[in-house]
Amino acid sequence: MLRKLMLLSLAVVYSCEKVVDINLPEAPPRLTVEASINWLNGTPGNEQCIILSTTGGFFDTEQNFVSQADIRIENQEGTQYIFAEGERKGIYECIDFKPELNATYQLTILVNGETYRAKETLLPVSPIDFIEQEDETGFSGEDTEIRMYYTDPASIDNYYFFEYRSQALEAKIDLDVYDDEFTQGNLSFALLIESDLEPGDEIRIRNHGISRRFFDYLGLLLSQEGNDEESNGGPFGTAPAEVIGNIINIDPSKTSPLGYFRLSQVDEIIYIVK
Amino acid sequence: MLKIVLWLAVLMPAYLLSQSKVTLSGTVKEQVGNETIIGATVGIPTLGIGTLTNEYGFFSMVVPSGTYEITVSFLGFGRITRKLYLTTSTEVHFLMVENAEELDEVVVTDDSEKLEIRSPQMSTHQLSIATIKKIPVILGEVDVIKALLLLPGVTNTGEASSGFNVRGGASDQNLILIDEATIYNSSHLFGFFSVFNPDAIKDIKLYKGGIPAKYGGRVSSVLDIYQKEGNKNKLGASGGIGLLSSRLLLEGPIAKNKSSFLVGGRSSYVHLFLPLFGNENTAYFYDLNTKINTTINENNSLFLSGYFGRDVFEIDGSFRNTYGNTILNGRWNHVFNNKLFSNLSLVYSDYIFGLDLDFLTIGYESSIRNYNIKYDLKWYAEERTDFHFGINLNYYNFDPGTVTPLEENSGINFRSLAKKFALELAAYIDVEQKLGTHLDLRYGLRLSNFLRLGDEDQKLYDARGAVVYNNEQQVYQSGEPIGSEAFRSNEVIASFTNLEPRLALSYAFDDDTAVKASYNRTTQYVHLISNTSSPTPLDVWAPSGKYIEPQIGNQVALGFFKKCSDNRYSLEVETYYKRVRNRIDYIDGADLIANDDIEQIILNGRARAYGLELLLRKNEGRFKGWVAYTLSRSEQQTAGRTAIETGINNGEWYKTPFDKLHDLSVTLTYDLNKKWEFSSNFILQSGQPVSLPNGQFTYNDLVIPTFSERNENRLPSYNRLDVAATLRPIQGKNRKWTSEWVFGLYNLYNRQNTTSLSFARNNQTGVNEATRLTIFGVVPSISYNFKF
Repeated sequence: MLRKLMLLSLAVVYSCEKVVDINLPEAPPRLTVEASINWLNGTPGNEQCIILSTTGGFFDTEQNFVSQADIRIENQEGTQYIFAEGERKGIYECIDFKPELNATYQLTILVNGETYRAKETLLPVSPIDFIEQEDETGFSGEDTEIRMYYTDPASIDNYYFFEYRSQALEAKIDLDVYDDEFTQGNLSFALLIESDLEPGDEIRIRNHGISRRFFDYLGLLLSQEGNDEESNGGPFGTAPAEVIGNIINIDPSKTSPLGYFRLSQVDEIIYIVK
Repeated sequence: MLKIVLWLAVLMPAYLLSQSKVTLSGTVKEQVGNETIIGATVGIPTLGIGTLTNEYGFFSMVVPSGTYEITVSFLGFGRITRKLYLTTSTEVHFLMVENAEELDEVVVTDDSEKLEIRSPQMSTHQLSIATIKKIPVILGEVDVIKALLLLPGVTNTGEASSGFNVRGGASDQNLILIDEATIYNSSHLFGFFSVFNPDAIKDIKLYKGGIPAKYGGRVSSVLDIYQKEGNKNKLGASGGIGLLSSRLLLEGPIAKNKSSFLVGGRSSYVHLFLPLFGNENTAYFYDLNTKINTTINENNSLFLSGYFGRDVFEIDGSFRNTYGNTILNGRWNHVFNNKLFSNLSLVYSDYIFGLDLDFLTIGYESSIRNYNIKYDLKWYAEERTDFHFGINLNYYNFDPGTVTPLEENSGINFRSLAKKFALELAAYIDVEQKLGTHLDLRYGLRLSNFLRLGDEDQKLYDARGAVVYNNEQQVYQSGEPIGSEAFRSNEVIASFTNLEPRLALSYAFDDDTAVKASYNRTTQYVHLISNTSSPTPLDVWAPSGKYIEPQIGNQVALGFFKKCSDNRYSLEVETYYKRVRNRIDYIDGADLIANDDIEQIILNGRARAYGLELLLRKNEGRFKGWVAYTLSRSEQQTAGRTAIETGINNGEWYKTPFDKLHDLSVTLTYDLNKKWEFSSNFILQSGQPVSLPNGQFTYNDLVIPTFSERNENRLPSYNRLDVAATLRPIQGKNRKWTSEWVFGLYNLYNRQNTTSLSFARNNQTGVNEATRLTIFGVVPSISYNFKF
């Protein structure tokens, strides 16, 4: 974050960006799992889905979904929730999932003769207490700042994952993670800075309770995604690496899939820009 | 090593007894300002011997009694030839006259940058500020570090990167000294410019290898910079006005020929114009160089020098960033007798980084403070032998970060990371010796000791260590402390002692041809914690201790040196191999900012570098310059600590971001006449190693590129041509005011060099794209320099 801010001032001076053609290496396809169990406040949380796909070449436009997998999640008591592939290829749905805060769940995926497994705990989240908006601010003086305030529980380390979705956002979707290293036990806020927001625009804001491990995982993914001076070869870039989630192949000699098995309590607010 | 010490002990009395010869000693200064000259050659051609003046203009040599013609020479100055009848030891003070104004008529025949065939010192470059000022530079801002990059074996990680890399070493492995004080961050504006004000600098010397025992504490190189003392005869001023910054320097006598002062300032001023365009952001830097010196008597001189520099960034009151170095330095030169010269330095040096993020109501500050006492002696013992010896004591105070809430109702808690303290002690002896007519030796030994001191609470970890390997996920994770051990103030937490042998030899076939070899071991006890391609201003320094081992570097170098056509041309060919033990590497996703437990995110690795360097110079005539080519490799490896661990990059060697396989630079200047001078440089080098994506996947509706091996690919090759022209308007003979206009074009053919590549989905089209970032296209510049 700090680094990114400092580089803004530098990048405006002389730099010039251009889309270029480049030949990239292509690794063999690898299984990717998006198992994000979101228990939205005020809902029973029984409808959940898991997406299986494989990696593709960087310039590929289609997502390669993976069919015919056997997917189940088991709770501590041994209850199994089956995720079945519906009409849409690679999307596995469950309609009877029973979320329980601080309970640990195990995910098992059988596909193409391989077995993959992951364990994670469903973590609670602090609700968004209130939202503040400030206009004509930021680096250009023309940005809109939106602050989502929440109260961090004292004495335990908490991690937060904010997701913003709106047609008004430049990228339509924006993700951010926060910890409480400097804000332990305080009223804290998440910050969204956008240049293109107009009054009346609708933003769906979600705050998820997450583990330290997912905080690290998503932080790394976000640092390797997108356009900024931290990327490849940039003077302030860190060397990108393979980002491994929490799902493993039970045969340790074989590759683990990419992706993550996360379970979160989720607080959602639909915010109308003032 | 013990053998050498014993051997020296045996030999020393022998030197003391042999007094049948006479000593010629003294100083070399320039006439106008009485400024001492570093590295002037004092020679006796008939005996075929000579010596160089030291950092304080002092020289001494032992010769058989007799009548000799003594010559004194230095680049840009007229040669002095004087006949001396030496029957007793004699002290002589030479005053040299600058001949820059007469360039048309006089061919400059002596050059401090020319190579010293017989000296065992190799892998060294000395650049005069006059040479540096001629090199075309971006925006006309004369820059010491940009000039160094044109030499073989010196690179950086791209146009907007800070620091420099010597022989494949990281930039925190360079010891940068200004007037003997250590500088911890050499960059302004994230590396666009360096902190050295060219007007205030006298002399620059870079040691890439064969580092003398006098220097220690960094494993890669030593950049030794001396500031001017100030004109002792009359008040003068010099300065310049450029597009980005302006400089003004005043110097003059306090008491004529005895003491003088120098005050120099430099500041960028783009920020002054920003409000005119309705922009309330600001970004600027400034430097202040000061120096006072006084000659108490023939044998005692005092120097007081200071440097203060800051970079300031402010973005519309929501973001404020200030950082920079401060140096305060007092020195006492004492000449015990005509054979024993000494210098005592007391130095304070710090680097402070401060950041206020108003919109997050968070304030942050980190610093390193360093107190240093150095006592260096040089004993010109014998006709063929000189001894250097001394001690060095460094006390460090590290503040890795203090976080403060900026508002009363801020959600930020005050938090101060544990301060760290350390003491570094060193003693050295270094001998320069001539054996016969062909062989010159320099050998030395440095004994260094580092004590990590309290008060500090050291966290303790279980047997798995501070970094834990998660075998199931095959990732490294931070360990959980199981307790802590409290250390009282000044209690020793960890201690390291190292012997650092240094050896260099030169075998001269004749006056024009020599082969040289050197070996040095260097130890580095403080480390810049940085996992980016080049350091950022907010990176903090950390001392060795319980969890960080000192870096130990070993380098061997071999060289061939040849002067041709009466030194019109010179050729230097060197090859080197370097290994560094205990090079820190960082686990994936390591967050270095305000991290109290650095040990939880670092692994111990090693580095190696090797290469071949060629430097061909034309030293004389209207047309001068050099061609430098380097073929090299720089790699790092962090293997797993046990058989099951993967290490970093699967434990394989990988290229560092500053690995440059090919690096060619051509630097030329041409003096057309009194009015016009032209210069150019051309650079062609391999692209920077990077990791390119080998695929992508979709996660949470975001496109995520995937990567495998670290730095396996390269950016496209880098090349550019810069040109500059200097116009000196002709002035009346007695006008004291001299001035020049410098016109420059950086990147003449507007090459779009790739600084970085980024990979993302275009939100409008939904297609994945590779985007190239180019920092500088063609950039014209104009600047005006004056002196009176």
